[in-house]
Amino acid sequence: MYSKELLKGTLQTILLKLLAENGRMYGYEITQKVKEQTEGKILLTEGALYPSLHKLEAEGLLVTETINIGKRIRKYYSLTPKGSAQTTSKLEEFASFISTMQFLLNPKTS
Amino acid sequence: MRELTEAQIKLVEQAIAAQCSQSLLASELLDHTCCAIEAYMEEGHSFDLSIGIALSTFGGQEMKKISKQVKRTHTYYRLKQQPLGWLTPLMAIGLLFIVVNVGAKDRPDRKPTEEDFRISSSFGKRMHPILKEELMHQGVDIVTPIGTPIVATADGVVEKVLNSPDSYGIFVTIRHDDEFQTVYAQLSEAKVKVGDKVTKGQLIALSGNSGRSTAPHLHYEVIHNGKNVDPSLYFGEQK
Repeated sequence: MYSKELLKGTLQTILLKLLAENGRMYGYEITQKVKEQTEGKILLTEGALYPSLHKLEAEGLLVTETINIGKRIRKYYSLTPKGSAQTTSKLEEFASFISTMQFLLNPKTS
Repeated sequence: MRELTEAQIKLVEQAIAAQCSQSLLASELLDHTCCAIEAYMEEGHSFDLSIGIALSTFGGQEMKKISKQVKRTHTYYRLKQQPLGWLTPLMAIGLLFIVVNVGAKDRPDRKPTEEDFRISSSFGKRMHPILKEELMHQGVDIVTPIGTPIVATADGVVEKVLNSPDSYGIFVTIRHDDEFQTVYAQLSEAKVKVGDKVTKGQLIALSGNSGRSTAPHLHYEVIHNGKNVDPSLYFGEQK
């Protein structure tokens, strides 16, 4: 598990990227997907996930649809066009951040 | 994949409602917890154990905390979307601040002296020290040595500066607003004249032993809407 601070800064990027790849997803599915893809190294807590999803929705980056799945209701999240655009720019920013960090942590000896 | 029965879902719903009632997240938390329970049951655990594990991952106050956080997010964005969203509550606070502040200046909410002195006779019925009759005492008597600076207890305009040797002696009255007047009596000297504007805390007189008085003191009255009220009720408010 990584520190809370690291996750906090990357959670939105993770959520946007997952939704861009998988289309619509619901909360529990997202936590499982992250767990599976990171081999358990990143575990999203409900306490981090839901406030973040609702914030992205309020910002107009996500839309939700509520579906009756038989005995209970399920809320699916998916990207809006604005959300898709944001995903691209967030991923670019993050990739650039990683390479900068690498540069900072392993300075090339001249 | 295992699927919970309606009765089991009902149980989960109740457990969540016990932690946070009427949450914006209620149906989402329900689905989430049910999914987790189903996954644990799929691994071969009983329902009772699975619901226990699923709920414990939230911790005691966790659900409540998440719900509150989400509610805050919603409120924040709702206010942000309205063009005057932030302005309305800010204006209300501002207006309240102004009213309280302006109100406070016109309201006699301090003692008429800078120092603390003993009160020898308080407001209410008492045996009059000279007339030896039970009479209403319309103010408080504060034991001040002759020459003690007396200050206005609120902003206002000096209404009267008079000398009536067989009662108040030298006294000053101040009109503060439509509601309040104050009276300062048994003075040795008035430092203001009728019509002067005074501010709260401004020197208006020196205390004395003039008029019908047995010992040096300040007789102080607060009049609210024409009726004398207990001045000591107004002392604590500011000073």
